[in-house]
Amino acid sequence: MAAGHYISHLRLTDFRNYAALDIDFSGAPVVLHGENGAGKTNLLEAVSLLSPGRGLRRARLEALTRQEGESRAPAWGVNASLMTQDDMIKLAIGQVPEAPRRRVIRIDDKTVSGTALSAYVTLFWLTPAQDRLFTGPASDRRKFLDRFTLMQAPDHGANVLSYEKLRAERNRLLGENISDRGWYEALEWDMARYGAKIASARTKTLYALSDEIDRRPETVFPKSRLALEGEIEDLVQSGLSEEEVSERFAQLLADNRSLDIRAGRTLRGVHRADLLVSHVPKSMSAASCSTGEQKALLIGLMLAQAHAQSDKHPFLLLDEVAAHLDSGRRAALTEELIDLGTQVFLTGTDAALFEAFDGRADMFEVRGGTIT
Amino acid sequence: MAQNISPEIERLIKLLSKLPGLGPRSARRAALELIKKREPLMRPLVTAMSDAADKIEECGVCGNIDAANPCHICAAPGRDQSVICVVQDVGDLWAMERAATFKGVYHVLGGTLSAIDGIRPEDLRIAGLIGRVKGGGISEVILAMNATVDGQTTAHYITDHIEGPNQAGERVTISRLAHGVPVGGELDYLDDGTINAALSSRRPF
Ligand SMILES: [Zn+2]
Repeated sequence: MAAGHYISHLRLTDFRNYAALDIDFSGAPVVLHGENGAGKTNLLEAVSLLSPGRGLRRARLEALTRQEGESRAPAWGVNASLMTQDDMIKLAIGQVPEAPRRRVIRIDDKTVSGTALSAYVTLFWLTPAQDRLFTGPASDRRKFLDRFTLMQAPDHGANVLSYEKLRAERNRLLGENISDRGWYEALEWDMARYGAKIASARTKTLYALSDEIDRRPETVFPKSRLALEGEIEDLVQSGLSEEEVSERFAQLLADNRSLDIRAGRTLRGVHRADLLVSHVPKSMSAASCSTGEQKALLIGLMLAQAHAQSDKHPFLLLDEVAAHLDSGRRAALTEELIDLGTQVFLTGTDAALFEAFDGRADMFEVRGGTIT
Repeated sequence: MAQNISPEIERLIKLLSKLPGLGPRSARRAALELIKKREPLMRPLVTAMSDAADKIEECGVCGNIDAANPCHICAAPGRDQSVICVVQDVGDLWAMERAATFKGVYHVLGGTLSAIDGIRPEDLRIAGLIGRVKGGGISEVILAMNATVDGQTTAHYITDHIEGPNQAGERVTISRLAHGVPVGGELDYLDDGTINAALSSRRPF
């Protein structure tokens, strides 16, 4: 297999419905088929935990330990062997029984911070939960873009967390009707500083992704036009420097303080941004497209992002995607994924959905915590 | 390492950084030190490493590392072959030997059961231990695993597999190290777990 960067072995211990699982991969696309509830998505989730964050279900740490009747295993673990161009790297993530609430991450047997994983693993996923991405709340689309942004700006996640912490603190002051000007100014100045970084990173991601979409040929996966809606992001797009954006944002928060006190929360800022997507061939907003067309748009976006990030060999996790596509699009997706050359994990109830791979995938049947 | 470092040095740093306790930064310092002290340090180290790589092997009986197999502890005529002390790693065996009180023999497991590290019974030298105990001639097995949850889980697992009569119908005593107040320890400085363990394993005065 051509892919020089792939998971060659995965071991799960007391993870979800898996007591003990070992599975080998060749680097080719991985197809997991089996009935609903067999544990296919649990496997994708295990892989998704190899990148920073809480994985594709955003699950709590305790929820991941295998449960049998009333008793829970003391800890869970996911171990992966990652083949790179010139090395094999051991990735481990899980719990130690002494501190079950702490996520422990080890790279080559050394305990590291979660962000260290981003040097080795870049991945993104498409799950049924994202079927309502275009029609659901803006926060989902913001998170979607933030995940993409994280791939090119690894400190973006920390910046978003810091901003959110400060915003919660400011909201507390607003809610308790506190009017200490110095306190607000200190919080707002920091919020603006992080906000400017966030808006600037999002804008860069949007531009890079849009460029990639323009470069790509027309396929059965329609092209998207992307726009970032948010007043701080607008300032970035108007060409202001990060410092200028930060100053304007701080001023805006100060000016809005009395309105915010009345509302009891911060009304304006990067936490209100939205990603607007439209279907280019139909010149229609994504939200107005049919469900099938929305899925095809999302796949197109994923593929563009995978190509834009190809130097990082991104893994793609596609949960129950094939079922939404007609056989023509399934065949096209198959060729796109093979062409992409990075490791892709697909799930589906029926092996027949993956016929187009025709021997070019690692096929596994998942059944009740075992794999054949 | 994006700078213009020669691939030979880069490779040295990369390998050194895989050692426990060495991050990329300390690995760079170690590499630099080795190169500076080429004759007094680096070349002797190369010889020592090559000797060790050629000659050191795991003892087929107990899992200790030595230039001899069986190791010099297993082969020593003065040691009590009927008492086995089970330890996690060779480092623990060395610690026991430094104390110089134990006169029996060892069994090195090579770790403990662990979910995060994906270590299962078949990854440890447990089958070999069961074979030694069931084979006869053993009167006592001392479980000297660390007082961690994983260490104790491993001890329970082993106990389940070795208790009961051996092939000759003899009973084997299974014991574990006492956990409690260290020599020279002051109660005020101990954590609750240590105090509880010490209290529950108290002995008549
Ligand atoms: Zn030996």
